[in-house]
This record gives sequence, structure tokens and C-alpha cells, in this order.
Amino acid sequence: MKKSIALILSLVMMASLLGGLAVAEGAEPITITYMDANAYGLEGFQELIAKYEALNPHVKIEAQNISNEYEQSLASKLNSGQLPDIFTCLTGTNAARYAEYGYDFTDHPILSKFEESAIATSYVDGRVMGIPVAFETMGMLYNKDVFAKAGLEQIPQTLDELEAACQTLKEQGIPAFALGAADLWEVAYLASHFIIPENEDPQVTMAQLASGERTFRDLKNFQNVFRMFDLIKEYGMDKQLEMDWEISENNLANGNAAIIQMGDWCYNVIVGFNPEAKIGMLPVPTGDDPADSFLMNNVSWQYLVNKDSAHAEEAIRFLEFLLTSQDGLAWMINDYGVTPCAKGDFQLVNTIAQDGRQYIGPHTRRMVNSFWPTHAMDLLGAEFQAYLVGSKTADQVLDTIQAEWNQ
Amino acid sequence: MKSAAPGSNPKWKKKLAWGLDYAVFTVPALLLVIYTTLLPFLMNVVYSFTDWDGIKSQVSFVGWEHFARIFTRDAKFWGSVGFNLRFALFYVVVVNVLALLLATALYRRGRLSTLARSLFFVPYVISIVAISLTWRFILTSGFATLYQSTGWLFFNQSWLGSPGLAFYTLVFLSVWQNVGFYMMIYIAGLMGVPADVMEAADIDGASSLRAFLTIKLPLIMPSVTVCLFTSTLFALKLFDIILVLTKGGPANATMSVTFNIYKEAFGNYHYGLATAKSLVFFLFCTFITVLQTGLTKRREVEL
Repeated sequence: MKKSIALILSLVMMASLLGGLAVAEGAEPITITYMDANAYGLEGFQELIAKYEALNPHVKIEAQNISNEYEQSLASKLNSGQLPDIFTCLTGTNAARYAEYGYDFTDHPILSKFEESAIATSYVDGRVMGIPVAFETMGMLYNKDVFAKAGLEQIPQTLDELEAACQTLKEQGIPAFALGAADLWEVAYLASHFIIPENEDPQVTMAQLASGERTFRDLKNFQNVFRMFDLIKEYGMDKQLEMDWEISENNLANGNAAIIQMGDWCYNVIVGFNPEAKIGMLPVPTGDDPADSFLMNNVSWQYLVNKDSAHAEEAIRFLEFLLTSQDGLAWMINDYGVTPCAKGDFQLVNTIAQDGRQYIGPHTRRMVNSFWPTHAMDLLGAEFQAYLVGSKTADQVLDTIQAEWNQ
Repeated sequence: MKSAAPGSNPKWKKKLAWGLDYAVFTVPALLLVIYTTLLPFLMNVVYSFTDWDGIKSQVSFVGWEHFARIFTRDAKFWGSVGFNLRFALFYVVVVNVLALLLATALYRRGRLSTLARSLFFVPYVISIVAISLTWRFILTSGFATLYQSTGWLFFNQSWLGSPGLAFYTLVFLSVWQNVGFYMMIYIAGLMGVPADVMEAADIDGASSLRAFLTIKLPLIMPSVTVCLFTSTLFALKLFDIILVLTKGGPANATMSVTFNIYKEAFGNYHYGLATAKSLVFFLFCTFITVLQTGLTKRREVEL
């Protein structure tokens, strides 16, 4: 009895050895680790990976999508020596921190497949250190049905027109705003529109603020940010300071309010709340001149490839598949719901992003938050929260922001 | 070894055996404490003198710069220290008085008191994050619905969205969650008070208040020491409720020191500064708790 068991065991071992040899005859099997902060279209993403693995039998993709506390997770992976082969970073200040661990794409042929304006966001010290993920547009969103119901035919382009629209909505009993003011980033992103004085490169403005050459009081439209928050306070829903982004989007989707601050990335969530909602983008009016109403457009995330990875080229091949192949683009547009950075003309499923496209050009500027100091988001967020609850005056807010901006 | 005949064992051998016995139990724990607490603490001290951002590989020393910044121009940090002290004051007083009252009412055995004890203890067993999420729902959507059906203004307050109210909401939630734990410690103390002493007091005609103040309270001072110590530490290290419920807002009104440190390290990428802050905070907590246990220990009596 014992002998037969031993025989079977040794046979099994022989077989597995042979099996191992058979695999080794093809290309060497490799595993590519991948990590991003994405929360949308994840099922389709897994299917996409399965497809890639079927096309490339020697490659296995180990993907993690961490949408909460992503930056902390990435930092701890780095510090425990487990930096993935592919990972995403927020464009600008954050990506620059990771640049020393990243693959240098500067002369890589893959760059020719992307829009130049997208690649332009990947530069760190003159080198291309990342591959852009998607275009994103941010500003205000409005519920088209609510606007129509209140008889508003034109979108407001100046602060006066915005106030008039608020008044009209109020007469209909509809709150104009549902700002997710409990989230510091929402408050700060809204305020960030008022920082760029003219249609100038936000990098220039940020450099001038950093050197002290310019102060917040010098910025052409920054004083108007207080008028915006006054309107939000007066015409907005109750308790906006305990409203987070999710409740804010819910209120917009269901027509409880007309306008929120947000970006086109929220499309999937809005559809989840109300598939019938007709949502459009509203360039943020920042002054008396219609030319000063604009959306902000950017590549918010970019892919970095670990320069110490044993399979850097294989990792780039996967990115190429993900971002530029037919299958990859179909996933990005239909499931992920974003605007690809690859060259080409796309019909977007994301109707909010599609709506925002009409403003490209004079009414779209680059996002400020890619270039501001990292603590700026909490600083602006908390200061304007203080203004909203009335614990600080406009002057006090300006003084604090000026004093702490460069700390 | 212990069963060996006396005299056959030299003294040093006995000592060694005794030492080994202790070592078996303490060394593994000690090693773990060194590895998980002491080493990180020492690394923390080193990092507090550097400009590390948590990511870059090149780290340079900046001397006392972070400490100078903390003590001269970090209003936000001192604002958060103020918040913690205020919170500690409210929380420690309310939770201990309430726990003591509950314990006095419930320390005698009985079916009803056992049920009441478990009811007060249940919130302590549930994860604080789950509790915070539940309360966030109650305070926002729940209260909104209640307001619609009752019209009571109480339900229409912005309990998380206005700086003043958010503070009391946090105090209330922390008290509600933890009062059962302190109650149990006080009950254990009260059950240890000898019945004959109480009987003697009763025969001498002491009122129940007098008996409580002059006999029970001094005798349960060890429980008081433990409760004050743990509740003060809880109040000073407040973190998870804030992360889930208010994120330090609105307008930094509920920014606790630990949350400020967390934000500094992982939000602002000022890792060196954050470690310096945590060091200052560590010394601060040590000072307060040593002072406090010293004060209460002195009042402990023995029969």
C-alpha cells in the first residue's frame, strides 16, 4: 500500500516537472504589477486584462485599484520596497516627487501616439516622466432640466448674470447650489478658478506667487471669489458644510439643486443616481467679463513605470494596449467614461465631458491645482469654509492665505 | 528543577533558573515591543531633524528647523492642541461622572441591571469607524427625515456642519461609545468595597451620599486612576471619529493634533515636520498623564 502511494507521488512529481519544462520552452513567464486609484469600470478593466493575457500568454498582470487613501498606499509601497511596475500619480507636484523612481519616456516612440497637449503635462525638469491617463475637465455642472424648468435659456457668463439666475431659480423655489462644502478639495477647487488672472499659464502664476512677486490681492479676479461664496451661501441648499461630493452629486442628478462644483469624471456616479439626468458643464464665471468664465482642463493622472522594474518594456507595451488599442479605447470611453489622450476623434459616452468640449479654446484653461504647493488644497479649503460659516471675514481669509501659502 | 533536593542546587543555579523562567515569558514580548514601538520611535526622532517628504531618496538634515517652526509659526498646530485640551476637559469630566453614576446604579446584581450593563457596553464593542459612519447617517439623512415629520428645530441643526455644534457632537459620540467601558471598571471597583464597612456606616447612620463620598469613593480610587488615565489619553489621541465624521472641519474647528500630524505627513508630504510634531505631542501627552496619575495615585487609600 505504502509503496503504491510513493509510486503515485513520484509520478505526479515527474509529471509536474515535465509540465514545468513545457512552459519554459515558450517565452519566459513574467508578472507585471499594476496599481491605480480608479474606481470606475473595474469589471471591464478585468476583462481587458484577461484579453491582454490571452494575447500575450507569457504575461500576467497583477492589478490593484485603490480608490481610497491611494497616495498613502503608494507611499507605503514605495517605502517597503514594493513599488509596482506601473502606478499612477497626480500630474504636477505629486508626479514630480515620484519622478526619480520613474522610467524616462523622453525619446520613447510611444509618445507619438498621444496628443501633444497631453504629453505636455508629463514634463519634469524637461524630461517626459509619465504617460497621460485621460483628459479631465472641471468647473461647475448644471442640471439642464432644472434650468429649463426655471426658464433659464442662457448659461450665466458673469457674476451678475449668475446672481440673476440664482434669483430666478429662487423664485421657482429651487436652491441654486449644492456645494459639497464638507470636502476641502471641492471648496479649494472652486476657489482655484479665481486664481488665474488672465488666460495665462498657471505655472507662471504659481511661480510668481511662490516668489512673492505677486500677492493674492494683486490677482485680477481673486476678490470675486468672495462674491461667489456669498451667492452659494445665500442661494444654496441648507447645510452645505456637511454635504460631501456624493450627496452634492445626488442633489444635482435629482434636480434638488441647479448647480454644483465638479468635474466630468463624476459621469458614472451621476448616471447611477439618475439615468435620466441631463447634466451640462458650466464655465465658472469669475468676473464681469464673459471672457473670464471658463472650465479647467487637464490630465489629472499619469502613469509612471518603475525604472527599476525588470520588465519595463513589457509594462510599457501593456500601457500602449490599455491607452491606444481599439479594445483599450473602447473600455476607456464606454466603461471608464473618460476622454482618451490618444490621437484621434472620439464620440464620448460621457455626455458631461462631451458637453464640456464646446468650450475648448477661449473658455478652457489649465488646472491650477497641478502646480500649487501640496498644502494649498487644505489651506484654501479650510479658509473658505471659515468664510462660509462666517467665522472669518474676507480680509482675514486673504491675510491667512497670503501668509501660509509659501510655508 | 524546583523539585530537586535543597542543597544540591548552588545559589547561582537557582538564580539562573529563576531568571530563565522570567525570560521565557518576557523576552518575546520585549523583542516585539522593541521592534514595533521602540525602533519606530527612535527612527521618528531621527526623521524629525530631516526634510524627508516621505518619498524622495535623498534626505538631508535640517537641524532644529521643524521645532522652531512648531513653536514660533504654526498656529494651526496650536489650534489643534487647544481643541484637544478643550475636548479632553469636556470628555473626561462627562464620561467619568456619567460612568460613575451608572456604576452606582447598576453594580448590584439583578436581571435588570445585567441587561442595562450590556446595553451600555454594546457601543464599546462595535468598531469606532462603523459607529461613526452610522452616526453620520443619523445626523444627516436621519435627522432630515425626523425634521420633516416632527418639525422640531433640534433636528434641523447642522450638527456636523457648524464649528460649535460639531465639537459637542464629537463629545457626545465619544461619551456614548465609551461610557460602558468606564462603567465596567467602576463596577469592578464598587464590587470590591467590603460589605461589612458599608454595613457599619449604615448602622452609624451615615446617609448614602455621605457613605459614597467618604467610604466608597476613596476605596475605588484605583478605578478612578485607571479611568481618568485612559479617558485622558483617549481624548488626547482622538483620531478615527474625526477622520470619518468631520475630517477636521468645518474650517479646522475639529482638527485634533493626531489628525493634524496625519495631514502633515500624508496630505502635505511634510514627513519630517510631522514626525517633529508627533515628538512634541508625545512629550506633551507624557507630561499630562504623569501629572494626572501622580495626582490621583496620591489619593488612593487602603483599608
